[in-house]
Amino acid sequence: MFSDVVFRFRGLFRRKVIESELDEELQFPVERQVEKYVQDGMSREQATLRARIDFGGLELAKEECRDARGVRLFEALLQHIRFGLRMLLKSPVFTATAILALALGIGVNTTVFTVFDALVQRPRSVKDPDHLVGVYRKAQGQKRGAFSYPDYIYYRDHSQTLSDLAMFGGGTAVATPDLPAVGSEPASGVGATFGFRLPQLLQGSAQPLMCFFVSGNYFQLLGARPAAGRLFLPEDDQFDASPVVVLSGNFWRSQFHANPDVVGSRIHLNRVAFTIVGVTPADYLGTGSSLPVLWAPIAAQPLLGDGTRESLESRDAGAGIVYGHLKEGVSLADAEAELNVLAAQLRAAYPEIEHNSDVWVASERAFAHINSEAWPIVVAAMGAVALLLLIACANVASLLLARSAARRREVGVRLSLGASRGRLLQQLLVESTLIALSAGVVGLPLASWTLHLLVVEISSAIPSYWGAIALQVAPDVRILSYTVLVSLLTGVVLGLTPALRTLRVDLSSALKNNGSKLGQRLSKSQLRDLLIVLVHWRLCESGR
Amino acid sequence: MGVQRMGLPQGTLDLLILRTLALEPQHGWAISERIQQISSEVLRVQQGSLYPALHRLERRGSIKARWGTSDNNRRAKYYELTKSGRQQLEVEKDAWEKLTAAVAQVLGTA
Repeated sequence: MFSDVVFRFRGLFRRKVIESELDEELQFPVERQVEKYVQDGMSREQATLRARIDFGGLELAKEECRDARGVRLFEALLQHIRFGLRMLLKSPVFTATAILALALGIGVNTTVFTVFDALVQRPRSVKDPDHLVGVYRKAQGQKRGAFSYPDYIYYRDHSQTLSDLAMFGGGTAVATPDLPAVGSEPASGVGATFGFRLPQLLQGSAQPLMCFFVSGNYFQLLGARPAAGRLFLPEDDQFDASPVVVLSGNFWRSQFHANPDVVGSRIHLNRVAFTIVGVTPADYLGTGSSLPVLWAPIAAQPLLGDGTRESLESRDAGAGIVYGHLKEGVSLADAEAELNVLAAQLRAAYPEIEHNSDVWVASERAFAHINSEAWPIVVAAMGAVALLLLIACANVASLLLARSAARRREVGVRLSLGASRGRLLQQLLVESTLIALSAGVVGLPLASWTLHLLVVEISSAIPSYWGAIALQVAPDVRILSYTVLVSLLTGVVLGLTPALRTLRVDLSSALKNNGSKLGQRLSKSQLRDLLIVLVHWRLCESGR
Repeated sequence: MGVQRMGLPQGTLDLLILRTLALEPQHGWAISERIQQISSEVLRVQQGSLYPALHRLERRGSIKARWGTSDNNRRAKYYELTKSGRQQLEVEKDAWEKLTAAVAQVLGTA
């Protein structure tokens, strides 16, 4: 397969060498045959003639050799592209309009796909995301119930199917008197983009900061590496341990200019002195979907004013979600069965606690799993943007159709000179694909700008104590190939109808350039009817 | 198509070329001469269809080409069988033998 491609490319780029080799190769047998006939007693003239006749058509044989080498496919494609580019540059207004219209459609499609990809398909940036699972309690009316802290410890110490269990306790806003005001950053984000300032919801020096609570083994379970200092250890998550926090990398950069001396210093939170032991990497999310400012051990919750030690030690209160790693060869169902046995043990030991219901285990490979209820919404959203692209396609196709009237003469001339309809169809499709690919090139930055606006700028306008939305939306190879694929598809869908119409040409009238007849044909255009139907439908949809 | 004295069934030209090259590397003219000789002048391959077949086989990787000097001291392109060409020859020879045997059987009984 690979050698075949190399072989063809050699033919494409070393054409002169190949051609002279072919000449030489085909010359040889003719001369050889002449010699043979001369030896047999023919005159040289006669022999040459016979040898030529024996050989058959020399040019035909050459052409067949070129075909056999598979060079012609590439050659024809290059020719189509060259000619197509010339045709597109000849009518720049048409080309620009078409490209812009499609770029919008492709851009919106890429945006939606990227968000979908970031939510559902892209694995979390944690150690071994394929085996990461979340354990939830089937509480009444709740699908994702939290566990109490003592229950979590029971599961952690007794589970054989999960390699470790860590708890993510959610977040709380904590006040700190000794930080510079966070709201004093220069106007950026949406404010800067749209030329106005969004009101800061909180001002002043006692700035609440979003703090996430995690168990002592949480960062170890996820395989996180600190940007500075160290992350939590199990011994930090004890009620009698000295109070420690970890800063998020983003906060460390924006507030402390990434100064490593911050590690080891103290910060007053809720009138308690905490030691900053380390910093997470920038944009580090763990298993969350938003960025906190601080991380603290779950045992520090009472110190930070979020509940009391009694409530944390009670089996009755939900403290957080539990994550674990499936051991090698263990399935989700295995883990669930085992954890349900543990749940039954807890039920027997503490019959007065009604929270000890069954548990279920779900993969936490990506940010979101789409369950059967959510799929129709996702499909509808994808369908809506696909429809948007289809409308852009229909608009550009009608432009192409209008232009095809002008190109009928050209097509007529080429047909009457012996070009095959297949070849002309290729040509027209290459042109529409060129338009669509250029639109993809324009649409991709458009998409990343929209995403930037949506995810980065809007989220930076949200006060920091809410935590920042953080989706990984940087374009990668998959997004790029999605855009290219959509562009190619667009090119073919877009080009096929006008191309087929252009080729349904009556030679004599085309050569006479009979305009009135063309007008009549166009008025019968089925494509236009389809367009009207589509636009009406779209209007009805948006009117609802 | 390419053969004058007797029509070659489709695809047999490739088989004949591969078989001839299994003996030793040859240039195109010698291949057609050899086929003619061995078949006692019954099969005659026209050069005009031999060369496209050679180029096709080269692209498929069944044979490879290199320039050499012919017996009359001229530069000529020699073709030789590759490993996959040798395998292809075995497979096609087998298929051909089965086909001819089956056809002969049908003709014999009908």
